[in-house]
Amino acid sequence: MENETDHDMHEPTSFWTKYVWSQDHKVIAIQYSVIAILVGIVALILSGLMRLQLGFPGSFDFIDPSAYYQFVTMHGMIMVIYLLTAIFLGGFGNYLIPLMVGARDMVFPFVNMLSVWFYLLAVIVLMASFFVPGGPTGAGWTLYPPQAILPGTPGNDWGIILMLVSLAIFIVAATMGGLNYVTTVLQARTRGMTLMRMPLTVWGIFMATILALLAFPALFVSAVMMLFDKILGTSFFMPAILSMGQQLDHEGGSPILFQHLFWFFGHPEVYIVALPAFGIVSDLISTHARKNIFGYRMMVWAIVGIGVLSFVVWAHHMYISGMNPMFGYFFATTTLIIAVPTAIKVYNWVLTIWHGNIKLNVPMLFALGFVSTFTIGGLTGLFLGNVVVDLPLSDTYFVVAHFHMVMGVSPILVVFGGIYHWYPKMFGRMLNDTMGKFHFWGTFLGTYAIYFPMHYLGVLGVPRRYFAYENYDFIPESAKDLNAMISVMAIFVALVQLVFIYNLIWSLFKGKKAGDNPWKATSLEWQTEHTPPTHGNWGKELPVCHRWAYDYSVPGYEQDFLPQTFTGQPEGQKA
Amino acid sequence: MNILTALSEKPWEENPNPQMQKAVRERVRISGLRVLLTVVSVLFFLFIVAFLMRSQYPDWQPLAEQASHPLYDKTQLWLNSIYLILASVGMQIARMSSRGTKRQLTKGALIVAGVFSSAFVAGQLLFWQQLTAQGFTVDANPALSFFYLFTGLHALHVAIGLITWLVALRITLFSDPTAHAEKINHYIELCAMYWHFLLGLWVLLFALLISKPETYNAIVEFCGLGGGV
Amino acid sequence: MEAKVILRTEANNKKGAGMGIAIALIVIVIGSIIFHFLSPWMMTPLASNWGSIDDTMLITLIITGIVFIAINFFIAFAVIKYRHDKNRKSKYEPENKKLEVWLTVITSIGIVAMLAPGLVVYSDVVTVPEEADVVEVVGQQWSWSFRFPGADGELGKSGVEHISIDNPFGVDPLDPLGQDDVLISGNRLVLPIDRPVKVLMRSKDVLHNFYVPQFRVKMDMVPGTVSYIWFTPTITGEFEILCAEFCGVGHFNMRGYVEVMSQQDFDSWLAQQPTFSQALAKNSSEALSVTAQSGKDLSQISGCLGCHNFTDSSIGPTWKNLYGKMQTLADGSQVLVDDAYLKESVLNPTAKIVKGFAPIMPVMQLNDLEMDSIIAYIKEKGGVEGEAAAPEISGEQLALNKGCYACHSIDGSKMLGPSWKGLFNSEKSLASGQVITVDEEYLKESIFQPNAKIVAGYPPVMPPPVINEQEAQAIIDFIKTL
Repeated sequence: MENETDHDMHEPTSFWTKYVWSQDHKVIAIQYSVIAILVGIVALILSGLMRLQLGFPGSFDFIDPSAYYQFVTMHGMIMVIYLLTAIFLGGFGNYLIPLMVGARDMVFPFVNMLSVWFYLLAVIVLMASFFVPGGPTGAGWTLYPPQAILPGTPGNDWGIILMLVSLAIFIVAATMGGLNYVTTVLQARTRGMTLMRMPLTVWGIFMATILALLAFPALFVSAVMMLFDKILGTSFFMPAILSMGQQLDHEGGSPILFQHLFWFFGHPEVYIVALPAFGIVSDLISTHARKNIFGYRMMVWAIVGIGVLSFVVWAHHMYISGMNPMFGYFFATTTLIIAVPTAIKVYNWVLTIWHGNIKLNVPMLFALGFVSTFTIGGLTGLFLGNVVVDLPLSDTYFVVAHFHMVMGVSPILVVFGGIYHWYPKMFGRMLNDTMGKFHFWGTFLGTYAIYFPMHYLGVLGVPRRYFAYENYDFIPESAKDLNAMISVMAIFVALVQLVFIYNLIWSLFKGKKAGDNPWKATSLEWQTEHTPPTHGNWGKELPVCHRWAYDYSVPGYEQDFLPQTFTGQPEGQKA
Repeated sequence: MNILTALSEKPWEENPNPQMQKAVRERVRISGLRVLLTVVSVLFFLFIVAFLMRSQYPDWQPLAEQASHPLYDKTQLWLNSIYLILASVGMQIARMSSRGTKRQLTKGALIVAGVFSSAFVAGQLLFWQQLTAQGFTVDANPALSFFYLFTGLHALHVAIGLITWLVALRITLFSDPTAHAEKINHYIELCAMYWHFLLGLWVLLFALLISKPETYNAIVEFCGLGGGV
Repeated sequence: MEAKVILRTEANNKKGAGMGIAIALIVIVIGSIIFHFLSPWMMTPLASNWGSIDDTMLITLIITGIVFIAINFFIAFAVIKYRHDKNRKSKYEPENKKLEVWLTVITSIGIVAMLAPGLVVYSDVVTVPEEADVVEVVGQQWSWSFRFPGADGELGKSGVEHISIDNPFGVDPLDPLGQDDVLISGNRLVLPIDRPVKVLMRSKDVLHNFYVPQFRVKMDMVPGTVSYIWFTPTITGEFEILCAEFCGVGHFNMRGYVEVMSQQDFDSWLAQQPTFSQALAKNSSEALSVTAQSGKDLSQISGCLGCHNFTDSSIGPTWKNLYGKMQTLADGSQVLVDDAYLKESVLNPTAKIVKGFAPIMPVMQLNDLEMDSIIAYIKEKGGVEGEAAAPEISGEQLALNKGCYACHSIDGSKMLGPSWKGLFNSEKSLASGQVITVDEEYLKESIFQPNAKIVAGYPPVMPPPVINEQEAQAIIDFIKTL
């Protein structure tokens, strides 16, 4: 990418090519993020509606079971795929990878642009399902056949077809983006940027992208095959069954085959969301604790190890699916093994702040909040991964609480932390600190109050995906009060997000000027000539990387951070 | 550099700055194509796994064992395979000759490759038509559903390849051969890689689809795919 | 040195500003512990042999609890101890191999301590004791039914293709093992105490999950395959069965009960339940009984219908009005067409040739059940009327058994379907805009073709229940009383 004559590097001039049909990774990243946040707001509203029904059953006439299940399904799918995956890879990945490895742009800018437009198309198709006859699918975000495509499930006609089509389009978008991220990391690093000098953010996103490229095909396969079953009447996943009293034409298919394919995607998907969060949080903690990340190599190996292991644990989602029970031994073992590298990451984060010089800026608060919520989510994962403990807990609220902690709250805290951290680079202005702190405390304490007690509903045995819990003898009356409390907190947390949205817009115009490097950080993105970086990122010369990204408080230097481009000598050795 | 050595580097220690990676456009594109082909391989690998797992159910019917089976008469498929082989050969000739000076040969071979690829796609569609005319529709039996799925997706990949072929053809035919020799070679190189990959994929799929049920059983047993569902 | 001390004090004065997160984490940990011990939401009291599952969960809770407390306290402590002080520099410490190895080893030990007991208990879960009784649970949207193997201890084959109104379980009518199977079509399962039971599960339509919180184990029911779990009930009483795998809009209301009683009570209860063959004898809602239906299928497959049919122009002797009539044979003698004659004619076709027909029929190898089914077919289709069975249970009970309450309330509350309270003779506007009065005819139509006339505001998701005309009438009579 050194070559200045490269034709892709012409700076666009018109409004359309600069902000709409842009091939600049920074603009694409913002496009991705804006779409993801907008669609995330839809999913947040849906979760509020769900909680209204659960907390105050029967008080809201417009929420009938069909609507409720549609809210559940769309909330889950949007949050996991269209918000978290998109914002980590398409948003953070796009913005940070070229800047952090010292490239002028992604290696295939045109494909990168196509990626965001395909993503938008996927979102439009998905949103369209709210307006078709029958509404969006209500099959649960796992879309298990046979019920996903049969009457008795809301949106079994148009809704499910649009959902599957939208997923297929999203996968094409993610693949086009993924090609870029991987190839850019592999081929476009600047001089001196060895793999082990890359910030952990890049490592996390890089590994997550590899997972996405290898795992999304499984979702594509299952979506296409289910579309065949739905539209063409094939029997990939459909056994001979009755539906609404009628015998269907299908014969011999296997619903469990779908589950295998789905979770072969679904489990790596957890890490597609988690690994970028791991990477980003490492950088936030190191920067704001003014200390090098502890055990960098271990962190990289753990990211790689988790990535590899994530492909051999998928059936821990299927312990009670009716698959061969002997698989339980293998998958319980691999699942608990994956806890070791994950635990090491947690240790290294907390050891990083040990002996540090901790500045509790808003990004740091989110990062520390993440370590706490992720610890809970990870530890409850040990219950569910251990096959025999999973038997009473699976399909209960324990699972709901667990995955919301580990891949809902935790990654979203990192998304917020990351936005507070890089917003100054993206727009040249700081986000408002007071609003940021309020946002953090509301979100962190609120989500704790939602999900910690929710585990206990699961231990009690309350099954998930229930529209109402009336007249079940084993559920005490007090559980209803707990549900009401959870709902109130959920709505509170949702409202707190309005402050964040307001802050994003307000600070764009009124935020404090940030300067080039407000956090005094070392990695390359803070060393650009302009803030926000201009087209092509760097001036005439690409930066040269002389050190790793964690030279904070290096002994012998006066300044407490050495940028990766820094070439000076320790004071004692100065000529 | 060995990946393990690279990953055990201690980045906080003084390291001499390694040579800059020469990010040549060509290498970037080839690298990108390799990643893409890996993704496509994974996609088809998973389809094949699904196929093999599905083949273990009692309602499975092989495709090419008896005269009454849809793929018993494979004439059209063999013909299509020959088209695709010729397309691949054409690409290879274009690739090898583009490095030399035989410009006409390159152009001719490239055109031949595209024409035969189109013939392949058309031939597959023709075969679909023949099958449906005989009543072998996509929902007739699971193996046949997979047949339509595999051939359809594969043909789609060939068709997408033909779009890049058009780009390569435009450059080869209409740009100044001396000024853009690098670029021409590069595009042809990429096309050739893609075509060989698709040929290999087709051979694999074709062999899989017409194999005996015993073969499936043996593979499934060997890979431990059975019993899971 | 002095300057440093002063600055230190200044930093200390500002401590309120930065310590929020540390205090929050400490409060969260202490709050969580208090919550844990005060929470009224603990596991339901155990009612099966799976105390070992609870034990492994306790081990996991203790280990993870310690880590949870340790990590959060460590962060809080570090934040307090190492909060920002501009005169102090962080320690530069890229890695500490020894510490990292130690942490890895300790973590691994913790993992093994959770996993090993887990796997040991799991091997008990997947190994069904030989002496376990068998019971089958059948799920459908949104109700349960159950089947015991009967005296022979084995369940008959079953399949979706056999399911009909008279054979809701889909038991193969031609499988001798299935004849004595005991069918429980209500949603109430009864089990004897202290006997290990292997629960076989299948589903007629979509995924379901047999879940009794007090028993701890649960398993999906997958159409097309049979899954299983086993447990030993250890406490008598009534427990709720829930569906734990999303199965459509009625999922949350797919209720059932399992009642655990003494062996003696169980035996006498079981003896009162109908067997499959008894159930078949009673049902006759369709033109053909289940037995005759399978006879029809069999005679199609075996080619009988190639020569025999129910017209007057049959190649072989017609089956129309055959049973019970006097047939004139080739030798001029007459014979009464009864079971014995028909059996003989099938097994040895040339023994008694009917006058006017050639001895060309091949010998058929049929077992007794198959023979009976063909005879039943000849009888029923050829002209002997089946007897109508009176419903033996009340409409109220039927509504419970058939899962109607999953969607219809009887107290006026709005659920998936229109409430039954005050339904009869009320006016309803349909989705089509039409307004109708709910009468008997409308109710009957809505039972057998649920989606023909949908009441406005309700989704068209009702599966037609597997009931016959008399049963439908009983339910309608019940609705009238509400």
